[in-house]
Amino acid sequence: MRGFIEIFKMDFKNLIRNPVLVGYNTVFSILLTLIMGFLTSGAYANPTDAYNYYAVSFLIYCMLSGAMTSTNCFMERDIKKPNLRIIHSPVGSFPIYFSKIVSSFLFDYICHLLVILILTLSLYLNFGGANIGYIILLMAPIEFAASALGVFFCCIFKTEEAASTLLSNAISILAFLGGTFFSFDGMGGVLAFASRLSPVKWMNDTFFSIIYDADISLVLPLFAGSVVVSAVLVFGCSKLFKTEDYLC
Amino acid sequence: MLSVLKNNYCRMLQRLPAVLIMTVITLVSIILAIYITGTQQVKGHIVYVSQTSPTTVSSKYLSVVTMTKEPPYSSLVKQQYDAFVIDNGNGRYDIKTLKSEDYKKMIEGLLKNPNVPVKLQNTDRGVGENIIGFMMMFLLMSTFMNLFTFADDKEQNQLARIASSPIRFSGYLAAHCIYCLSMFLPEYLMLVIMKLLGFDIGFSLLQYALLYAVIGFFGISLALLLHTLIKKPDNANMLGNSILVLSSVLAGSFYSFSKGNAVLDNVVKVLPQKQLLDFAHYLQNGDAFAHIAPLLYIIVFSAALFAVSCVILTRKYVKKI
Repeated sequence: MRGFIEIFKMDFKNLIRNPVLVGYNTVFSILLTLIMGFLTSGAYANPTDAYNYYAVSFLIYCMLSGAMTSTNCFMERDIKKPNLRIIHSPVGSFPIYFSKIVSSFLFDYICHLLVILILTLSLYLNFGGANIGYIILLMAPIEFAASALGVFFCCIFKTEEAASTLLSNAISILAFLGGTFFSFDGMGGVLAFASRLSPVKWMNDTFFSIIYDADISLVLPLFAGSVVVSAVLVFGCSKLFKTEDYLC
Repeated sequence: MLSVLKNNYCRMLQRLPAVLIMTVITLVSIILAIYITGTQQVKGHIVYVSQTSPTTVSSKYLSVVTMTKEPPYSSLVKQQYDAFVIDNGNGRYDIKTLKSEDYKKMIEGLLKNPNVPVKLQNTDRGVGENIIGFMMMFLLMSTFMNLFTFADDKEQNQLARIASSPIRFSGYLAAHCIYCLSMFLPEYLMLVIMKLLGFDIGFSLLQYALLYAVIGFFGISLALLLHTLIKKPDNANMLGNSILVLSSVLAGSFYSFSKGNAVLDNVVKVLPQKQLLDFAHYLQNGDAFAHIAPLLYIIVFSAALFAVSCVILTRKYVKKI
């Protein structure tokens, strides 16, 4: 256990020291919200509604993009080699990938809570008022599942480039379909149906119904679903992680 | 010049997957543009809330759903429905919407006279305008990618060698331009096929050729300038793509925004993409010759970028020896 904590501390420090990742998880999502909110605010009676839509949808997009944080944390060029040393130390291989998942989960979670704090304080956006606790509670397993997904893809593809390119494309397509950039609900027909297939859409629906309808009936299914997905992915990592891959 | 051209195609083959993905995305954007224009006629999805009678409202501009209870508020935020119309009896309505005052008035008008043609601001765009708007960003981004041969030459200091070879430098640049423009052919071919199959694509093929050439010229000039100013091709590519995405969205290539902000409107007008969309709008309405200024603006803008990059290139790289 002590070995795990040491590795975890090191991974977390590496993440905080990476300016690109810190910027991507905080400044980028705030900027996206501001730009898209500003562009669409003209059509609304109250501009805050436009900002609020994009604040929530980009929050979900950025939470899923947390997978890219963990691929970077796991297999970046400077980190991959030190992992080889840990393999030969007595702590075993489990802490290598599990500490990457936990540290990038914690890092993303803190960054995105910061984003919510900044947006609520500066633009008075609505993140659920009294129900904000449910939003914060729900974010945790989703962030964890996203981090585990990143590491899982690294275990499959063995390189950071392949894993993160594939993940970022897949997540962007799902987010686009799920209505992150603009909603397909009103378009009807094929597009609205395709939109309903995207998991991003399910998350958007849950978050919006918590925030605007104070309806918490969907919290439990989404929470349980992301916990199950996380467990499956961690189990998959333990099966697919092979120390031989590091003998570069 | 021919040998440079041939060389460019050979080097393109090494990067075929990336080129193909970009082309496919552009082709999909054309189809999406045509599809979305078809659905544009419906101006609003409304919910008619009434305890007693089913809806009497029917209009080709509205899609109406009747419910006895108001749907959750979040469906307005998610843009699933644009407005709730609550029937208070005696022909009086309460309209609940997040959209602007103008939109509310339009719905009120449609409830009274369901089939009066409505014009909502200037967001109505024809199919040709939509195709140009959707395609523009991808075409511009693909010119950036296609100029990689030039960027590589520059990075590896081949320019000085090329300048001292029998080929003239202007010929070398012209070959790159022709190469970039020729990479638009699959998209153009797609439009030709759609036209032959009888789809309504808005403009004539000649007009499309003109618009393609202008877009290509602008893209090449911008890419040339950024590649000249920035040493690493990867950095230039990333910067160029982010500039293009932001400026194209701001110019309203995907949907035109009604912002009513005078300062910002003037800033947006400086963008060549906005001018091109304006020109496409006039072209659609058939009075392009009276409004040739936007087109001239893009051409002059691109020519200026092109000239600046040529001057810097010759000073910095060609005459370095």
